[in-house]
Amino acid sequence: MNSFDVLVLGGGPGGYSFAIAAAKRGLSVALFEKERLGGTCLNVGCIPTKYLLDKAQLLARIRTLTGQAIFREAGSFSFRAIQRQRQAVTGQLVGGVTSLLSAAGAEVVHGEARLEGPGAVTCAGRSYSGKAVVIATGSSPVLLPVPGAELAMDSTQALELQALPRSMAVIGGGVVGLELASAFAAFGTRVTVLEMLPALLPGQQPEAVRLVCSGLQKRGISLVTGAKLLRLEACAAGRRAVYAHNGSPCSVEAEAVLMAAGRRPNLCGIDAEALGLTLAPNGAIQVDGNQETSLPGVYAIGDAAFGHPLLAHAAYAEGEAALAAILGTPRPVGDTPIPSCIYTTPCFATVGLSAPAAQQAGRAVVTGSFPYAANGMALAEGASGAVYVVMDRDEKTTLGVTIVGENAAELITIGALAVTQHLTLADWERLIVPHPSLAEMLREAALDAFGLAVHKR
Amino acid sequence: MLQEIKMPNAGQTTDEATIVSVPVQAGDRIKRGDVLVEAETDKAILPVESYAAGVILDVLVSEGDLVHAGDVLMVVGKEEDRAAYRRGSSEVPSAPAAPSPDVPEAGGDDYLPIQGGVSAVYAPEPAAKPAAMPNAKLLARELGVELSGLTPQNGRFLTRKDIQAAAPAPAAPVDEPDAQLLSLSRTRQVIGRRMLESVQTIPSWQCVSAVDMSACMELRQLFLERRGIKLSYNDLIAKAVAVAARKYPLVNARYEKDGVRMSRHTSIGLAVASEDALLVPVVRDVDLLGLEEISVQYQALIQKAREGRLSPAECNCGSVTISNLGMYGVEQFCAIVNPPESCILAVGGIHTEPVWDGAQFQPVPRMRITGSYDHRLIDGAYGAQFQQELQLLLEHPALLLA
Repeated sequence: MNSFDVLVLGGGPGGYSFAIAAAKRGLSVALFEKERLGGTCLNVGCIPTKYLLDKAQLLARIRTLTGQAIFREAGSFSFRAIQRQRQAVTGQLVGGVTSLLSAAGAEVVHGEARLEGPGAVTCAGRSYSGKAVVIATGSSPVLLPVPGAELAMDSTQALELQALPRSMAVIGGGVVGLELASAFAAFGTRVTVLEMLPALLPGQQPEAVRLVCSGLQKRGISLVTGAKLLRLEACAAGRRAVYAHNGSPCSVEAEAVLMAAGRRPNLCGIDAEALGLTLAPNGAIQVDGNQETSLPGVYAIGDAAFGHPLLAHAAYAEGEAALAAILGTPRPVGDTPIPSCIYTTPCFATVGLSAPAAQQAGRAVVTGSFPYAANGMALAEGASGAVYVVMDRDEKTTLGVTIVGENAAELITIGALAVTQHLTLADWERLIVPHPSLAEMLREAALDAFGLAVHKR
Repeated sequence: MLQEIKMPNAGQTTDEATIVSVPVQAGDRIKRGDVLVEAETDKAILPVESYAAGVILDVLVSEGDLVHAGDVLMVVGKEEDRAAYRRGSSEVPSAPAAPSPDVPEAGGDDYLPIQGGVSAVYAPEPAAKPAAMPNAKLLARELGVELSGLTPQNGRFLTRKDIQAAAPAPAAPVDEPDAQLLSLSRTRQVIGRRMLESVQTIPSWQCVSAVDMSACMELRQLFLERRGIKLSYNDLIAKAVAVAARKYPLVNARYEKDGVRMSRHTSIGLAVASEDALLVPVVRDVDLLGLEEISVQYQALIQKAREGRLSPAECNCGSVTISNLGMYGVEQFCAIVNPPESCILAVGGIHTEPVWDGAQFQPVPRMRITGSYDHRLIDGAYGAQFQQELQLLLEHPALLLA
């Protein structure tokens, strides 16, 4: 019998970061991983996608500079070489996680683990016991149950493509669909995105959503909203996606179809019914504020846990909350604002409330905005976009920040700080930001909410 | 020797076609029968196959180009002709240059041009830009005019005048448009032209018959049980039309300037909705075919029509068209005569209706057929009798054997 303080199921961002942090606090930790450490994020999600998007943005920039006759010719690129390098980068990150885990003293067990009950796990014929168990089994892409679904690839397969398809239909206009659409479009693939909802990014700051949509369309992506996928068929061009649009059947033909219609929690090795584990209606594990499940001493974090959005940084935060609870010093994630980013070109990042969401919550709001076009740094870099800051009209506190444009995902951290700390107009006024910098736009947008921005009429 | 691949004649209505895809590129090795381009004509997407073997030396068309029969699409030659080939010269110089040293392949990676990406590989090289005055270049950039296609009026260099002449009309402001202008596909243009031609030149009239379909339904069931064949009602109607036309042959005829042209056989077109078009594949000489054969032929044609792969011959004009909207719950409707035909039958769905049999109301599955006829050659009584015969045949399908 192998006894530990904590048993962690899953070595993705939630699981491995928890294991390292717990080991550093002196707990003995065993982490079970059936595939590769790093989970979806490192191996088949955020990081490889970001690698492709970075190269895609570079190509877009080269095109712009060639158009301005700064470069005489644009040159050529190899998609296969990009894919090779991408594998090297993910390999390096996975190696880094492995060495961090062993340096912290966490034991990694490779194999498919099975939760037998509170504090009991079996893996590869051996039994392990722990005072606490943390479920961090993540999620997998969902294939819509339509006829011909097998003709589509999921995001994992799309990331592994070795040759660029000439055209691609992307089913689903969420984060995954839009990011891959943006990357492949920049590489030269003709991309059509089919989204079932009547609009993309529902609930977000409407001006920002319009900016993202027009930016994507400008880069050659066709966006079709209100499109319900009916079936996929093989055809001469490769694949045909047949969908209902306003009730009438339409179709789009493409060499490849990417299904990015959401993800479902992985509960492999966890028989919720037999264990008496309570699940939420979407199949994720129900947890309390401290990430503890209906089974005492069993915690769930990340995509497998119900609550926060499916984001690696949400999993990190939930892992920290679970660790704090295990150590007896509870510090729930609660309603801490979680930023979310879509690394498309243009990039979209948001934290806190959008103006419509704040109004719905009964707040009187004012929205300030500031365009990249009026910012010196943005002009120098050839960046475009806009920043929106939603403030409470009476209390003058910051409720939400949305950014569309270059470096949005980096800049949003300032927004996260402002929303978390309820920064007031006076705080923003006292803040000194370097010039020239993109960060100036956040301060200007916040001041603009009360008509005080300097570089804006 | 160089061989030019030319656009073949695509159909009877027009010799224009739009290139929809070019699946090959210069340098590809091809054999006879390989598809070089796909061209959309008014009726179908037509694959153009190579009648030469060798290496593609030049591709002269790209997606979206409008081509006419006889236009040169590609130039095919031998591998050794490649270095010496220049666009515009039809012969390779007799003394070919010494073979160039092989360029080493860069690790087997396919390099794509950054400008244009995947699709650019298949596009022809951009034409050389003519010389232009600096202020003309500036104006061209402002107005978004591409210099490469322009010819200088003074024969030497482009001026602002040339650019202004080539500038597209200013677009309307695009603030949240209420409507969207979709470009007309070839098929859509042809449908528009022919439908207008129909209403403008054919004085048509309509009449409706309600047919008791019980016997046809039984016959269909019989085929399914005993033969394993799923007949469609359209197959049965087509057969009945062909038999009725023996008695009333004018429905096969067309009105022409010099006289009435009678077809010896009945060829029946079936209106098929495809993605953005209406296609009418035709089964020829239906009067000579059995039900099973009719069914098989229609199924194959419908499949091809939905995939846009009908050959021009397969949708050449028939003598009668059937348009069936029954599957959409339609009870009855009027169709527009498909010129140069003189008869189209609009078929509704089968609905059970109470019918007085002299003693009581009986539930009868009835289907309405609305014929539209060209009154220049089919008068009311003739059309009505044709429909009466058609009704008789469908209500007593055994008579089809006669």
